[in-house]
Parts: sequence; structure tokens; C-alpha cells
Amino acid sequence: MTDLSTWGVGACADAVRSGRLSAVALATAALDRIAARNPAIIAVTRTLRDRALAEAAAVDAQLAAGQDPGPLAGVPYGVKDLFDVAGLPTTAGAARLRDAPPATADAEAIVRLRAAGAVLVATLNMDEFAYGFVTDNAHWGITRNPHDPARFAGGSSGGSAAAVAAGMLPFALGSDTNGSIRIPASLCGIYGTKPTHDSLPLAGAYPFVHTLDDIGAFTRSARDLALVDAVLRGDADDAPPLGRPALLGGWFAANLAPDMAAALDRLSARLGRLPVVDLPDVARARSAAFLLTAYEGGRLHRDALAADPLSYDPATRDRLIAGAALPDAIYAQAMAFRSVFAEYVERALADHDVLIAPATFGPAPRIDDPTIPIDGAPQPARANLGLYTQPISFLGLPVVAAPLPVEGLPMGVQLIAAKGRDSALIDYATLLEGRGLIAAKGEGR
Amino acid sequence: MNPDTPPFAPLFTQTADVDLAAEIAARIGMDLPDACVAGVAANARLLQGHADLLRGGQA
Repeated sequence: MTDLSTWGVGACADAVRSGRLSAVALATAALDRIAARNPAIIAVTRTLRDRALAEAAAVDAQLAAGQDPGPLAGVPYGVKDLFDVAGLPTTAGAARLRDAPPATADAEAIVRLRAAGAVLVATLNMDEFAYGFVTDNAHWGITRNPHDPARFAGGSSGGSAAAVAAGMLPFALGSDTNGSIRIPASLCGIYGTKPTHDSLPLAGAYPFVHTLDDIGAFTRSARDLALVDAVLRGDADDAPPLGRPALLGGWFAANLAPDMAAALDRLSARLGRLPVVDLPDVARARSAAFLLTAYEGGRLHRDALAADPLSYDPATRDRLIAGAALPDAIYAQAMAFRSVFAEYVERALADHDVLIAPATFGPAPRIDDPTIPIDGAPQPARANLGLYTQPISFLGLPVVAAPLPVEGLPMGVQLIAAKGRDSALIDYATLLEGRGLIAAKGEGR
Repeated sequence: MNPDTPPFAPLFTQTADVDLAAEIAARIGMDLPDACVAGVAANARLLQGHADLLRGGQA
């Protein structure tokens, strides 16, 4: 059996392309690892054994015929349970959709990954309809953090993050509307991308908030992130590399756990003591994102909620119902403020290529105490872990969530750039990784 | 945009859980099960807090 748990995307593809390992062996190893690890973590909702072995055999056949299967040859991966997988119902984590008509085609992201040789192995757990930051799913269960199973993995793409952090898969796809890739990546000690809004293919991904929804990847290295992102993107910006980093202060320096504050200070020192930028009105930006999400998400589900409210996860249902009743005026106000806040951030990005901010307040909350401290009072983690991510995705900016080299439980930062600078931003993360300033955290191995 | 909704009007007019939930149910056009009342009311208050902050700069 091949121990896949420490193999990254590049290592897997190199082994397959060079003939040292077959794609079928890699897929089998991933399935075995899922069988061994998943019962304790609950990251995987469905294993796709037949499909995975067939895709892997096709990659091996291409190699045997002297053809190049692509840059992700034989690399096993999984997708959050909201991507269309041909022949399966797209559940979006909802019990009410488990018997929905099967998807007739793969999501566009899966099509691109398959064309590059990647092998789809599993679908992965999430908060129902992506409305939450903890991956506490009433149907599938709570995805547990591989670094401490008494703690959340984060969400809503928690299954994707936990599967990669636990070494079940070299990479996975998730979606991020308000932080749903960045938060679980941070809490699980791995990398994740929230791309420039609408720059990666959303076709075939179950929607939540069309103004904010994006898809992206989780990996255990920045180099692997670059490989997967390039395939999903199809082209790369070749603009100059990014430098001139700054640390976001103000809102982004408040409410931090001491360990996170100390880790950010160390990062700043290692980068030559970063300048600190205080953006105005961040609290209003977060509230605007919160309201925009509630409004669009509520309207998306309004008819189904009216017809059968008890078929929803209670934790999602009551949020969606309240959001569905929001007046149009507040949505218009949130959208109008977006333009104002965008100007503030554009000014900051004129002086600094990369803005650095915490991804979460600190480490993963305990499952038996699902709160985080905000202004001295405990607040529900499910709704509030996006404290530092929501104001950024509100503007559609590209972000790489990058793990900090910390003792103890994982924590990460957001590396933020101007729109369209996604590839250069991943290159910047690779640079920091090479200097040891950011680093994925092993699963206690 | 609903022209009947002034820009700074409260999102919801009722305050008690049952009345607030009933107001919301009426807007959506649904029969709200009892199991939803407390959660819907709590989330409505949370949204009101965010609306106050967005409009006035403080919660």
C-alpha cells in the first residue's frame, strides 16, 4: 500500500508521469486512507470508488500509449458536496436533496481537473447550503479537526480542509462566500484560495450568494496550490511579482487570541517590521456582507422554505427564513456601501501589493463550546468565525489563506491582493513558504 | 427596490418572539412551525443589529 498521507500534488503527478507509480495505485491508496481516517473525522460524505478507479485506469492507459495525461496526472482529490458530479445528486450538504435527480454532467471545475489528469475520489462534508463556519451538518455530522478531534475543522468547506489536512487527499475543492475556504484552511493548518470573484468556473456549483460565491482549492503547500489553481484558471497573469506587504490593523488587530497576535507580530518582524494599515469602516463592511448574504441566500431558498421548512437543518433554516424577510432597501444600502469600502481598499492597495490579515481570531473552537470571544462576550462560532474574512470577500479580492508556523493548534493568515493578481499572489505565498514564514502543519505525525 | 420601505426604517416592526416571527412569516408567505419561532426571532434581531451598524456606523 502506498502511504499517501504526506504526498503532495506535485509529488503524486511526478510519480505517475515518470512511471514510478500507477494512477490506480494512488487512487487505491487514497480510498484506503479515507477508510482508515474518515470514521474519526467525518470529512468524506461519499467515496466514488468505481469512478476513481476508472479515471485512474484511463490515466494509466494514456501513459502506456505514450500520451501525457496532464499536469495533475493521477492525483486523487475530492470536492465539497456542492459540485455537480455526473450521476449523483448534488446535495449541498442538505438531507432534503439527497434524493434529488442526479447531475447530468460534471461541474466545469471537475471537467478541467479531469482533463489535466486528476482523479475524483470523494465528495466532502459542509455546512448545509454553505451557511456556516463550522461544518456542523445535521445529516452527515460534525467534521472534526484532524489536529484535535474535540474541535471544529471550520467551515463551510470543512470536509475539504480536514480531508487534506488528515492526508486523505493531496488536494480538494471548496467554495468561499464569506470565508468558507479561508477559515477551515486556517483552522486545519493548510493552504486555501479565495480567487478574484468569478475568475474560476462556478458552473455546476450549487449557489448560495451569487454576488460573493467563489470556488477554490485546498493543498498542503503553496507550490501545490499554484499547480491546481493554474489548471482551474486555464491561464495565468504574467504581471510583475508582488512585494510591498503591509499588515492590516484596527479591526483586524482587535479580538485576537494572544497566540495569533504573537504569530502575526513574529511574521511582521521577519518581514522587516511591516507597516500597519488601518482601513476605515471595516465593521460596516462586515455587516454589509452579513446582510447581503442573508438577503440573497434567503431569497434563493424562499419558496422551498415556505413549502417545507422542517426539511432544512435547523441551524441553517432559521437564518435563511430571517434573511428571506429582509426588505429590498437594506440590500441596496449594503451594495451601495460596497462601492465606498472598495475605494478605501483600493487606496491601500495602491501603496501595498499584499495586505496581511488574520484569517481567524485564533485556533479552532471546541465542539462542546461553539463560541468565540468578540468584545469580551462569547458569540456563536457558526455565524461569527468570519469576522476577518467577510470584509475582504465582500469586495471580491483574491486571497490566499496561509498557515502560520505555530506551536500547538493551527492558525493562518490571509494574503490579500488587488483583483486579477491571483497567480502572483500564490507566487508570493510560495516565496514566504520558501523562507519558512508560512508552513502547513502536519497532523501530529 | 420596494418604494414603500424608507431607507432607515427598522427591518422589522415587532419585538416579541412570536410577533416578530409572525411578521416574518407573513412577509415570506409561509406558515412558520413553532420549532422555528425562537431561532427566526434571534436571527432577525442579529440582522437588525447589523443593519443599525451599516446605517449608522455603530450597533
